[in-house]
Amino acid sequence: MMQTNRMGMMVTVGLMIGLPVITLVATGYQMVGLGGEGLIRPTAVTPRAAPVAAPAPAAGTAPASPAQGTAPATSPTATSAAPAAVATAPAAPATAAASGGTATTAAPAAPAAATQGTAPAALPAPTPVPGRSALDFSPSRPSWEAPLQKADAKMGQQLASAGRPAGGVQACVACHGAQGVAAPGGIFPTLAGLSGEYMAKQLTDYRSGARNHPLMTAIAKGMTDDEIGQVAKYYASLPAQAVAPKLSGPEGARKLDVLGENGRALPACANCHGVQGQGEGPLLPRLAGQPKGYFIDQMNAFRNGQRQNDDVGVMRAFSQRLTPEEIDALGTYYEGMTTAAK
Amino acid sequence: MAGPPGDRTLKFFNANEAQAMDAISARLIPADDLGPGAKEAGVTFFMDGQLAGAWGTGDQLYRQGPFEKGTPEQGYQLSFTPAEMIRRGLASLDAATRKQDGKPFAELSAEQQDAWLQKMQAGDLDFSPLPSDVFFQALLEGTIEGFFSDPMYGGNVDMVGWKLVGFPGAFASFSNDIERHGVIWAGQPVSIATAKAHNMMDGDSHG
Amino acid sequence: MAKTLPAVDVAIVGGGWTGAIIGKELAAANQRVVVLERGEARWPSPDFQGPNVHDELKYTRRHALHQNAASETYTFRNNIDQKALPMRRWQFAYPGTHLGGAGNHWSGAYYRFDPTDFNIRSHYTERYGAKIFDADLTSQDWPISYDELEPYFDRFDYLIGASGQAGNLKGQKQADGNPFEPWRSRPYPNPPMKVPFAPALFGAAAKGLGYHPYVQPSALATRPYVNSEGLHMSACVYCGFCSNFGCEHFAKASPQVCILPVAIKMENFEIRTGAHVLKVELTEDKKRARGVSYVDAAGEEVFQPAEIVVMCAFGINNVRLLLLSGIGKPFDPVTNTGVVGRNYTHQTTSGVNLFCDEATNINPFMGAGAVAVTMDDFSADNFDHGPHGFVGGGYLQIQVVSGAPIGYHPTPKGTPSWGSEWKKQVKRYYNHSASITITGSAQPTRGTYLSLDPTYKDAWGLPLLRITYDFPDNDIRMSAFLTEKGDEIGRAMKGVVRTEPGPRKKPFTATSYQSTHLTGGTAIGDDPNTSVVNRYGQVWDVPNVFVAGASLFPQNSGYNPTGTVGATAYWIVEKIKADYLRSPGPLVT
Repeated sequence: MMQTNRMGMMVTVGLMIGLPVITLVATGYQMVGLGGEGLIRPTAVTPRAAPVAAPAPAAGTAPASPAQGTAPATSPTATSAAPAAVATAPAAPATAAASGGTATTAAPAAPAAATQGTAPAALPAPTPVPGRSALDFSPSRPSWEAPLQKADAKMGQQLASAGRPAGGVQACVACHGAQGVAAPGGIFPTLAGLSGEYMAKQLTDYRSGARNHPLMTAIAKGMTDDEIGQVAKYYASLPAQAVAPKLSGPEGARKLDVLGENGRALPACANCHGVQGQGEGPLLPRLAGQPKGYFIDQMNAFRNGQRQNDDVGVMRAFSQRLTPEEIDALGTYYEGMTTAAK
Repeated sequence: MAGPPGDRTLKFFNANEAQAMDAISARLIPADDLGPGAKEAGVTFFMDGQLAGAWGTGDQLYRQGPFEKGTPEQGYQLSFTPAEMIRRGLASLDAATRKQDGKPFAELSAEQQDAWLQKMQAGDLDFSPLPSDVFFQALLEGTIEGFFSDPMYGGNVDMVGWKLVGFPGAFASFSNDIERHGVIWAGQPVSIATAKAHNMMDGDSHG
Repeated sequence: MAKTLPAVDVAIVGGGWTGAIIGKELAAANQRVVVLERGEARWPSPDFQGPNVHDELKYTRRHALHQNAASETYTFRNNIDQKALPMRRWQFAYPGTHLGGAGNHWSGAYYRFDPTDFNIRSHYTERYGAKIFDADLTSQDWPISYDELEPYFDRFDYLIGASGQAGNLKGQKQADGNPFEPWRSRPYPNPPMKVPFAPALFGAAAKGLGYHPYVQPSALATRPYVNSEGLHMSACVYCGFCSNFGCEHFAKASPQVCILPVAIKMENFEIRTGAHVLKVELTEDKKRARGVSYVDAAGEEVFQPAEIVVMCAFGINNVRLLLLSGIGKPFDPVTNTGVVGRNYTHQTTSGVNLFCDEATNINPFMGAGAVAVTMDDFSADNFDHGPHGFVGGGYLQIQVVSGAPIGYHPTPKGTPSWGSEWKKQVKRYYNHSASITITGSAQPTRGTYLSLDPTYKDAWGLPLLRITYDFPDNDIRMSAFLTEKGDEIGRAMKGVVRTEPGPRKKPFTATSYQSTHLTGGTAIGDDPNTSVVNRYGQVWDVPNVFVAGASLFPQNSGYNPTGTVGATAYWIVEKIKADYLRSPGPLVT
């Protein structure tokens, strides 16, 4: 189409030159200026023709929210922050809402924080969901991996029984029980039989701040890499509690564990956490036999965004679609999975 | 479909066929220093269940005629259902070994058995109208399926097939491990068979 | 005597991606819509929950979610000199059935066709001269361009929660995306997938050779996501039970995860399962559809009157239905007349098998349908075709889909196929091998077409669809070129001790799996002499019948089809809403 307008011609020519020039400069900067891991040697890349200006959507094509029936009808999430399409972690309230019975770890307790350095006045800012580059193929070998592999479980047992008070490391048994089995109904998790990788990751997360708890954060900060590995290996070596032959507990909870629910796009918990809640690896802890108070605390912590070390945010998303009653029922159900609780 | 654990009653094979199948599968995937083979894995019982069931009677096979010989690119053009083929093939094999070696296949030496299987695979045995290589292929596929499928179907007993190769089985999420390039996966394989015994109750439906 | 039901506004054949998109949008536009799905309802819960869904025998070997060949298959021949024979069992492709169709059991590899895919004939002619096209090729331009479709690609992206990194935002190249990516108006809604070991090794080797590998975009959500319909998806957990399976995690995009829960809440939207459509019923003069006839779950024949009929069955099954209904003139390769069935293609795939040393633990079971590092240096017209003399191209990648061992137990060439030596090699290489997948474009010829079979019938007594297909020489040359490039990369990969390239060779065989991307037969076009539908998917001959899906493609791109299937479905339904509903009739004159 002939441009008779001189201004239009100048604009067109300007775009024709300008866009490739900008691209060239950007590419050159990327190749050299950023000092990345290596130059991308150019091959015969044919420059693409400058596209037409982004077209206005044709009539009636606005990809806006549909007119009817958007929200899933059966979602009863009371405190749902309804994460938008490109949101990262859901906006967390500054103080966690304590729901259900036990108090959550909302307000950072002052005393144990003495060894932390600056006591956080509010919860840490939500960690953005890691947005990977499509050019990043690097592995992720977590820092706890090597120490865990070479760890001596016996040393872990010593640390678990005696702690290292001088370093601010309380004895684990004080809260987590003599054999790594915590008191039922309580707020401390059972550690016996937890995957070593899971424990190592959680301790590392506490230490780095990826996960927060006033007691555990302080303890973890006092531990070395090797000690984390030792303790994790020790607890992994302890026998997990046996699962009761016949399940009891709320039927609704059992269905969520085993079947999930279509209406709220909830996969069965067992899909990831294992058939008997047995867990797997660093991200999927054993749920069977966990004290109910601890389970509820963690679900609430995920629900209000306070706990954020769940990789890409799946637990935060799931917990928001559960009601407090369901979380309570699930807590009863998982605790009831082991004979010890009976 | 497998019966309750421990029930290994045959529904398709007669005793002779089962014996032949044991012997065949024991040569196709032998027990050796790497571990148990197809026979120990229960491949015969797996195939028994499959052949007695819907697939064996041809519910996935287009069986309308006319049946004509096609090009290799046109694939399987015979009229035999899996059950018909295996039954017919085993009968032909039995007749052939009795005629030539005076014994059923199961009583031959391992070397003799291997020789028969090789000839069968090459299509050199006359089992007409069933080409022996087609029959062999069905045996081999069935054996591999029986060795590697979930134990709930009766084969892969104790997950021996999965343990041979290091396959974790049914229940797996690898979100945590997939970026740990080259990590040695240290878990235990999981099967639907063992998982199903727990947590499932009457009324739970699955696709 | 067929029972006649109360009329509806829109009858949609097929409950897969296109049926769900078009059905929901028209219902939202106050049309009374019924979707007729021959299979049964399948929902993630309870139908695809673990551990039961992780069953290779049931889903891959016994085809639990695939069309059942026993009741309806295709007949196949390489050329018109042969007699077509039925595919008595599935090997070469897996058409879907049950709610969601192939869109439920697919792998989730997610691409847009390249801009040059849309004007392939004129683009290559302009750049290389007309002779670059072998005389036998019938490749032709689309009537619409990438630029026109871009807003609809975008829309489908946000429906399915596409995962990736933009390489070109509104013309601006982005530093950490695919440099060959065509422009897009918005970023991907979710970040790229995690990268397993084998694809990372591929990426490092490809980069070292000067190529531009990147993480493949996918329809597997990489984090919790609320889609454009307000429906939740969760993150893929790389379980390795993706292709052929339903996803238990609401992570793999499918019609039942991304649209149908919203649609079925609408009072004027209905899905009927167990409804096997036999044909579209026309008026005496064959210029108008009156509705569709189907067999219901009880086996009774039913007539569903409708104002509009939209063909949304599995791609080439739409072609069969048009032929059975007497819609459009069937293509005859002998006289080169007619259009319905013309320009059928598959996908020109090949691979390079790689064998690694024992220190390299690949962990092939940690994977998903679309987790891959891929590269577009040889896709589309991203390289100079001049010296090579073929059109088209394809991507090279390592994709880790599944380690399920019935199907996956690679051994080097020359290994016996059974016995102790086989067992030894299987154990040696199971965790120490990978393969480079090459997915190339497919050009049509006069001899690649679909028609009704004269001999064989389905379980309802109707003629089967006959596929006549062989690779054109163009595609064989392309495959040889791409596979050699793949071999070069394989040999440069750390840990690889042996490569086995396997370029595609003639004749095309129906006995090996080569993707389920069966395309063409109702080509979209501006000329009724070479197309069945106009630029809006409207059948030239019968203006109240629309067709959506891969049968619209005049030829197949090197890229997977579903992205373009979804975009064109939105393109079509928006035109129906904007113009056709107000003023029914031909949209193009």
